Amino acid sequence: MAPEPLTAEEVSGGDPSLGDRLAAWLSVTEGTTVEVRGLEAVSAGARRFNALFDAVTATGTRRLAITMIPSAAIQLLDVRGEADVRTAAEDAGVPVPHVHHVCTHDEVLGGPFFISTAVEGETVPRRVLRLVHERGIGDQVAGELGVAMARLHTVGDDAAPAVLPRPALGGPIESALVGLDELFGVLLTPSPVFALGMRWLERHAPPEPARTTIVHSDIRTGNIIVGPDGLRAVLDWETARVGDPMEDLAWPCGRMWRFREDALTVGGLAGVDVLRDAYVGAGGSWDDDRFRWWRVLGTVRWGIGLAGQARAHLDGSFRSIVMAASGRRVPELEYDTLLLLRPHP
Amino acid sequence: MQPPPTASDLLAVVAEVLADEVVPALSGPIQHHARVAASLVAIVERELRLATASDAAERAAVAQLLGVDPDRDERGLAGLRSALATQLREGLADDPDDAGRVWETLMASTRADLRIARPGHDAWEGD
Repeated sequence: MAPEPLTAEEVSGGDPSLGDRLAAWLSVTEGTTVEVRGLEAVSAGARRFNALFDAVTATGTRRLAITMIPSAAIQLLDVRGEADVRTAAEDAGVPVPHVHHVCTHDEVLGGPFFISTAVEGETVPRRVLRLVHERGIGDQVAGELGVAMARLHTVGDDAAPAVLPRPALGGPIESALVGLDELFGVLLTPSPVFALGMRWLERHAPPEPARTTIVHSDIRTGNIIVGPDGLRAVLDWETARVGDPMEDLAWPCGRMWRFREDALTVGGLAGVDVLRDAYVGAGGSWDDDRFRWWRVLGTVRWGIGLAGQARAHLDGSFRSIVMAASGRRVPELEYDTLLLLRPHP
Repeated sequence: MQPPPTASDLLAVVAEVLADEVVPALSGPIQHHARVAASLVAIVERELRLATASDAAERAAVAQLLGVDPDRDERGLAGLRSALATQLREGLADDPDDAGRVWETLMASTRADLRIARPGHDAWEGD
């Protein structure tokens, strides 16, 4: 019988056998005795959790991170796929925590997992922004994000790992529109603002991009590790797929990722010009119309997603006060959508 | 009839106790849930005070965009909003002459919603 999926308590040390099981697996995998010390949970969500530990061998100590998917969770990308895309990104010059091991079996720890280098630094958005603004490195970090994206986007469809999802229809633009139209059905109450947004997206849809590449699709404040020296790593690659590179540029510029630093469009870090100049300087190709289109799409989609969370609470599939509260956040995204669609006088 | 405090008064004090006393005494996910609870109670308190007037104003504004008489139309706000959403998907605001009027109306309703759900979110008018 497979062990039960881990709980946060177990990862944080409530289950002494977890460290032992991990140490035994590492010892076999690395062919040398590995001790696991200082295991601590850093985040535990419904879909995955992350913990840090020291792997101690006769030759030294490494600080490592383990990311585990509870066996019951829906995986957007399996651990092998996520490890492959991280490695492809790393090979292209994107800062990512290096992946050391992948285990696709449930039996070892109760769910598939991978182990990567633990990167020191801040990830919690408000702490990232405090650090960045104390040090005066907002422009630097936004520029580093632009360079990281340009490097990621050098990996075209043909070179992207086979496991990554490709656009199902004519291309990423059509796929995004059709996907959004399907999501529209989850709105509990019809939203005239999102209807206006959908109409705008349909009428202003750009041509499919000449070239599709790996896109991370969730690079933003909250999914990056930042230290006093700047950007250290881009995290959470489970949403990676093949798509329109401009989608990656637009996403961190949504207002929901600014954490009150509204005037600093790029994730509360810097203005758009900094991101654009760095991206273009590193070889990326920028398109203003496409940028705006993906910003509107991302904002409407996030708003509809919040409405969907409220529905999941109400229909009992995921009862949670946080999901319930999401329903009352919808007007924020309606307002942000209207700002993006303001007609020119 | 219930004696004072009013429902709104009670929700206000519950929100205060949650935010000022309960949240600081907790940690981790439970603290987060308590913070969300405080915020939701405050939303309901504002809704009790503000929603009747803002819903009536929105119903009148939506009726005007649809070209119907709000006093004669039997649909409530939800029904009219649904009709407006359908018509917007079908191009009601495509004409630039209509776009500004529709945008102003939707913006006014959205600002009214935010006064209940998230006061201050509309202080930012950039982008």
